Amino acid sequence: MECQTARDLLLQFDLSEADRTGLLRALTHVDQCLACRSATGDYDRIREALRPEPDGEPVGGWAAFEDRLAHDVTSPRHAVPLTPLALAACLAMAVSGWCLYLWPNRTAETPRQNLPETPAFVTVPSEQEIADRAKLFDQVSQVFDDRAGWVLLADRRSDMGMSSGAPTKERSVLLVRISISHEGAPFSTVDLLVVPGQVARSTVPAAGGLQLKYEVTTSQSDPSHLRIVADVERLNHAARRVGTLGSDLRIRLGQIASIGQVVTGSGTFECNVGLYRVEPSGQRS
Amino acid sequence: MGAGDISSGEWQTLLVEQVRARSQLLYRLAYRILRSPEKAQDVCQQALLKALRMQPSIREPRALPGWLTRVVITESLAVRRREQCEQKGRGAVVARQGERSPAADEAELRGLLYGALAELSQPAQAIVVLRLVQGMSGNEVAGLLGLHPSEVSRRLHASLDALRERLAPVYAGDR
Repeated sequence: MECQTARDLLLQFDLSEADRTGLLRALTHVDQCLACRSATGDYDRIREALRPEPDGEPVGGWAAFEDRLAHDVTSPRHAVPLTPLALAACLAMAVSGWCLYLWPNRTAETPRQNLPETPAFVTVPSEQEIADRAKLFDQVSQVFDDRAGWVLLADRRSDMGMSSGAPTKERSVLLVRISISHEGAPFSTVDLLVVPGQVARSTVPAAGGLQLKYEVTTSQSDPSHLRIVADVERLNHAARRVGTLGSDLRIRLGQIASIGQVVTGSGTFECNVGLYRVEPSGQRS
Repeated sequence: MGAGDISSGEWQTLLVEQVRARSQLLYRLAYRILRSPEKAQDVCQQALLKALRMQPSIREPRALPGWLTRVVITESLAVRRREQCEQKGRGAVVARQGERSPAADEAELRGLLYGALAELSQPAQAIVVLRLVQGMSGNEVAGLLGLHPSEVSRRLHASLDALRERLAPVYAGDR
């Protein structure tokens, strides 16, 4: 048997696939051939070095990962030219950096004495906080040639989507703050900076094996018109919806409105939304 | 029918079907090379977006699973190689002196091996990773990449010889 044939046979690895008689002859050959012994020894070392290690699951679980990929394929926000990894890395750095900077400011909100009916878990962003988020939106949008349609900031996740229309540099941006409570206690707060007319879809991990799947639709002609759907999902092997909060509403700037309550097997969730205007970038310092 | 003959909507549907059928395999391939959930997800997203753009140049829709697999593997190896180069640039690689633990040696060998893999052709990378990293059988690899099983065997052999050649100085030092 030739060296080449012997090594081919041995590289089939799965004994069930190999011709067993041929395999025996190949092993006999290797036993007597110094070059083949050396080669097969090296193959074994390569196999050993590449052997499979335990897998990790995607962030948020398999179902959420699959949904994110499917959404990326079908979402119009990716109809623009592909964003290279380097730009995505810039975005990630910008978002995470700003999150670290901005999130601790959450406590420095405007006092709520003018809003006596606002639930305790709802916080109102201060002017400084709105200005900081405006800067963040500009920063992210610049990385993407002024085509960012929305940027979402949550405690455990940041996300963004591209605008399907013209560059958004000179356009107003809305800040939509969505606050959700669980059994009356603060559960999740999400800040969405969105150009009116865009639709933002994102999934945000939450405590207790839950995640929140948001879809926020805005109107270009009437920025006070919002449609918000928030699915509360439980993550096991697949995401399972346990309840939905949603509303189609008109809301004034600076106003906080209730989206409602949903009672689920995992407890009662309540959702409020606040709408704030962020100045166009031309007017932003 | 070629991929260029179908509408972009049908192409999107085909891609979504691939996501539903193969997202776990694609993720695992990327994760086993990169060992990072975030990077693995990024690579899978990039591969799908590339497929979305490359519709006219993918001649046969049936080739899409193999094409996506190859792109994920190649991109993962490229990302890992870039990181290794950056680490080297920062002087983060442990010097080959003094006493070293077996784990450090193993990690270094794996790093060198992945670096050498990144230099092979795309089909060769796919065959080595699917067979040795993912642990798929020759027949499974053949089915996924649209090759004859004997071709998989032959190419695996050639690829391992190429890796041996690139790693010869390391092996010679250890013998």
